[in-house]
Amino acid sequence: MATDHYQDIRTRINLNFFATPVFITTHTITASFASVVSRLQQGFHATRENKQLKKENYILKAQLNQLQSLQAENTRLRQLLKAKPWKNYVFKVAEVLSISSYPFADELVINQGKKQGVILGQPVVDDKGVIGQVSRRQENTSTVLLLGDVRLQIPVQVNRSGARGILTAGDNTNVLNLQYVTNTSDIVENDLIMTSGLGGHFPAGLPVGRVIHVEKNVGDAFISVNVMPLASLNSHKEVLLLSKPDKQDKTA
Amino acid sequence: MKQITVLYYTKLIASVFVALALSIWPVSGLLLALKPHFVALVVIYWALWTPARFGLLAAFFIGLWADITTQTLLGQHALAFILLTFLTQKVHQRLRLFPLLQQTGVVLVFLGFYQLTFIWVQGMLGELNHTSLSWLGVLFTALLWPLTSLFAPKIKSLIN
Repeated sequence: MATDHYQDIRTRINLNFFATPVFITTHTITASFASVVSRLQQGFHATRENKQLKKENYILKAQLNQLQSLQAENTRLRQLLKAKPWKNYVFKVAEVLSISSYPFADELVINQGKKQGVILGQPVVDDKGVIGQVSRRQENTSTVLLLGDVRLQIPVQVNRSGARGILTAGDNTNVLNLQYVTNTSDIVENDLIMTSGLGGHFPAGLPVGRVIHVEKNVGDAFISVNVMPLASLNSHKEVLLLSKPDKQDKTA
Repeated sequence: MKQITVLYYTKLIASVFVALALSIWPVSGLLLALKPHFVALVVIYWALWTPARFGLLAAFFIGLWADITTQTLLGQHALAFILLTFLTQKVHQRLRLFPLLQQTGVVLVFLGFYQLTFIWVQGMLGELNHTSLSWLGVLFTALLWPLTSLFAPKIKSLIN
């Protein structure tokens, strides 16, 4: 996986001492700039935004109620089936300190690190879907490998039919390739792609993307499938770190 | 003399620091591809105007610093900066006298080599992502070169 990619990881952790002041400088300036901008915007749009948010909150609450009843029903049904109950995953908000500094890598640096209990290989999501995975940890920061990076590949599944495949980066930042989908698999455009939970790093059932193009070639063993990620991979200020409540940091 | 040396290295480190801070500035999408390689510009600047003091070793250490900060493979920037410094020092006397446009052209060629070492290393690691757009970043970096002439010493003062 992505985690054991760099041989020089230990050296890098010691040397990070030199990088920290640069990070802090950039983050302080961008953060204060952003806060000034948002304060100005708040002055202009506060009332309108408030009204809109209230409306949205109302709808969300209603949806949440529905969801809770559905969850209860789901648990009951799963118990009936003697299946394992869904684990409640814990979300933790992390702020994005910097986006990969040059176009070869799709990475984020976030403000949660070893001290905050980040685990190597921890899934990172946003409100829409999977973004990537923690690939390196420092004391107070960690690096997240995004889906658009060739180094990250995750096992996924078509929500409708259950066809499995491996999601990898495509030629373009915003289009991913679904590989190793056999020619007989049931997959069509607009299918929802979820994590399959195989491999153990990602829990099953996290939304990842939507199929935008399917090309079947007679004679090829696999179908070529293009997937558009649900999360916008390159416009984040905050991301969510996903962790299991029962499993503590074993790698520390 | 010692004071001047201290002043020189302070300026050098400060300029690299600013360039690094700019180069990890969070931008996204197309802007990321267009983002200039600020540190490379700084390296060319020092190699061009102070070739006696700014050598391959300095370029190497600045490269390491850049590698740590931008989280690339250790030594990747170092290699690229050494190449940049070598090329610049090789022609620095001519390059100084070139008109600004021609100077920019030469810098563009140097940055092309710089980018090639990057693509080479990334290709060997199997991490090559989106290369075609990244050449635009090189072009933008070269277009920023004329700005460094604001800080360049007068030719006359160098002759005397």
